[in-house]
Amino acid sequence: MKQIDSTVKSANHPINKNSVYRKLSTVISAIWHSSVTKYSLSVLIISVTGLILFYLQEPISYQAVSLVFLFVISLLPLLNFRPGPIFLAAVMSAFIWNYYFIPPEFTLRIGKIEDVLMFVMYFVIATVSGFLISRIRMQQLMIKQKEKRTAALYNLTRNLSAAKSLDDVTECSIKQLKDTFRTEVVFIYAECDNYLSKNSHPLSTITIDDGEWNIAQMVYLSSAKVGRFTEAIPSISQITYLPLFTKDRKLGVVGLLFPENSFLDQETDSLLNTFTNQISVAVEREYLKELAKQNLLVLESEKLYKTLFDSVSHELKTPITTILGAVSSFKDEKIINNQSVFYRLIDEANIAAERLKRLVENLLDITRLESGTLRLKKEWHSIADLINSALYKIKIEAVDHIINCRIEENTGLGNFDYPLLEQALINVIHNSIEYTLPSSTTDIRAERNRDKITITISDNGLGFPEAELNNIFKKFYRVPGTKAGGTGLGLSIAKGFIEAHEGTITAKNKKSGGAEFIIILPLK
Amino acid sequence: MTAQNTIVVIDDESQIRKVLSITLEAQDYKVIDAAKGKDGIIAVANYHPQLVILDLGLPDKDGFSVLAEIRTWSSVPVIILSVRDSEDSIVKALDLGADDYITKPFNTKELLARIRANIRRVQNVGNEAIVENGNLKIDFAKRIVYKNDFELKLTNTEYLLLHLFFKNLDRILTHNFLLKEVWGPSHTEDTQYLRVFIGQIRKKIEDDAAHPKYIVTDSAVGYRMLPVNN
Repeated sequence: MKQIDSTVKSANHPINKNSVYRKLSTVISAIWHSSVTKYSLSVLIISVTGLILFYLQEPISYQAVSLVFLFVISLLPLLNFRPGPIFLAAVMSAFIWNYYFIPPEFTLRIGKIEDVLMFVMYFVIATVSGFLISRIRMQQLMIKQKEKRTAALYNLTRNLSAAKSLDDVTECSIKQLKDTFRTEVVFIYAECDNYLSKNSHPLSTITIDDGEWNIAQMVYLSSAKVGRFTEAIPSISQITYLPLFTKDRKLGVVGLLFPENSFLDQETDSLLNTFTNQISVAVEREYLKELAKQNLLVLESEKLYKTLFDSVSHELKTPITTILGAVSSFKDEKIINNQSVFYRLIDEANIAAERLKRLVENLLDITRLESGTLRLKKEWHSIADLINSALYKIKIEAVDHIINCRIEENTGLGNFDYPLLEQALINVIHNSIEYTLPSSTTDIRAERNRDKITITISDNGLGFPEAELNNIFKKFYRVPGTKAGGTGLGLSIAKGFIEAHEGTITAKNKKSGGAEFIIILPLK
Repeated sequence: MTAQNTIVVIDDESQIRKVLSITLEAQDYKVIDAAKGKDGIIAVANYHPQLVILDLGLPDKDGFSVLAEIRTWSSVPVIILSVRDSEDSIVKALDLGADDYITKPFNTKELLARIRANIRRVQNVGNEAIVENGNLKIDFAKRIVYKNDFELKLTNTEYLLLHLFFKNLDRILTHNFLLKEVWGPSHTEDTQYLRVFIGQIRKKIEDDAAHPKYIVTDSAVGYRMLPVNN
């Protein structure tokens, strides 16, 4: 695999003022933190202090000079100086003090015995206090850093547990990784077993090319980190790739692009591992959630399929049974010679054939509605004609029922698709006579209010159970416990056809008992 | 005590009840129909019919439970009439005590033949010592089966099977029933036994064992001995 330096594009992160500042500040901080700088700085500070004191020597005694040096050295740890530079400062200041200030001046010799004592004590105090203060300072810094890490981890886990989707998880992971490690982040999730998705997650702050994808795929398969700052082939990529996986499954890969002159100490590395572990758990949780949702969907669609299959096959077989039963009995001499029996059987076969025809039409209608290929062929027709022709077509089935029809004279004409609205009316009237006892009454009323036609179809049957009123227009839905026959399509087709005319159909139970359908059609 | 020529039809489809009524009444049967399982049970109890036609899919209760309830106090022949032509539900109904089944859509001629056969079988249940069917004859007392008046050499198991077929002429016998009766309740899954023995019996009783006319296979449900006229 080739080295890829130029392939990392900061696609989502164009160079701007902000990034220039950031670069500058990283350079400064790198210089600040390098030890050479610290050593030179301590030399500089001591020299300057010495120089100032040398010129001020007149008013101050040489003993006071040592105190000033001590003071300066004790300040060094506050500037994040490590023990090395402090030790250098102590040695150097002791030398300067001795050479320039302790009499005899400009010699390393010390005249008085108490001066020797003072020099030794000065040296010891300067070194020890410098060391101690710098140690305390370092510990403080470490505690602060630890605190920062704990806080970052806490933030991550809190945000991950609040995340509601894979996108949420990715978003907050990217934010936390960026804030904590100052990196650009790319997430690539598994698409199917053994393969990563070809596209990195859209929220990623960098994109990767095919070569980088191959590395990520390798990381995914082996569940081992690869790339910069890793033990395995660190030179292969600028990006550090970490696998996302749990005990049970491999989930994906996260790639981190650290700033160029950064380094990864052990503490940070282990924090990073904790981060990826937490993210993996969250991703797995989302994955399992998705799986459960899919299973539920499959279950639901299987249930729907079974209901549909059961009801349609029952509805198909019943009229066929009637027709075959009737027709096959015509071979029987006793039946063929008995005229009244013969005609009654013919009637039954006829009704069954009508029922079959209606079922097939319903299935075709619902398919038309579902597929969205319904085109209205609007023409001007009389509303009264519409209702009367629907009643005529349903006459055979309604022989045992009483139908009262009152059409107001002002209903007039409307612009609509005649066959569709006729079918809708037939379906609603059919529903009324089918689910009421023989000799029940169905009332049909039609009237016009400005450009709205209201058709009310009500019966004096049992009405619907209140809880089912919302369900009756649903496809393939039948009120539980209703008698055999019917697919639960009629009313949903009627609703579909009426809504295609921008009309509405609602159902309610009358106070006096029985169901009432109100159809409102805006007919211009 | 059964009412002569009375048939109770239990089916939730009014059209099918109607066609059955018209057809059966034309054959001089008196038909009582019921749309619900509960009404059907009451009708059977009240009218003591000669035969019951029962649909398996009923609105209030399962056809199986209707059958089971009737069977607790009546041995009236029950013909299952159902769109559920899956073998499982047929076998279940037969094992629950149904006498025969016919699937929708049905042929009227076949339905009438089944009704007649089942009524006849019940009427003929006597203690006849000898039953004849075509060229075959069984002597229950001597435990001998004759073909064209020649004694057939049968093993004990073969005889037991033939005994069951002659006792239930023109009635479907499920694998389950045959296995339980002949081999005992612990062998009800061993249908391969049956295939072997039915094959042997056919070789002995049929003129052409490849095209049996006495013992016929009824899909995956069981076997039936057809009445054969000379």
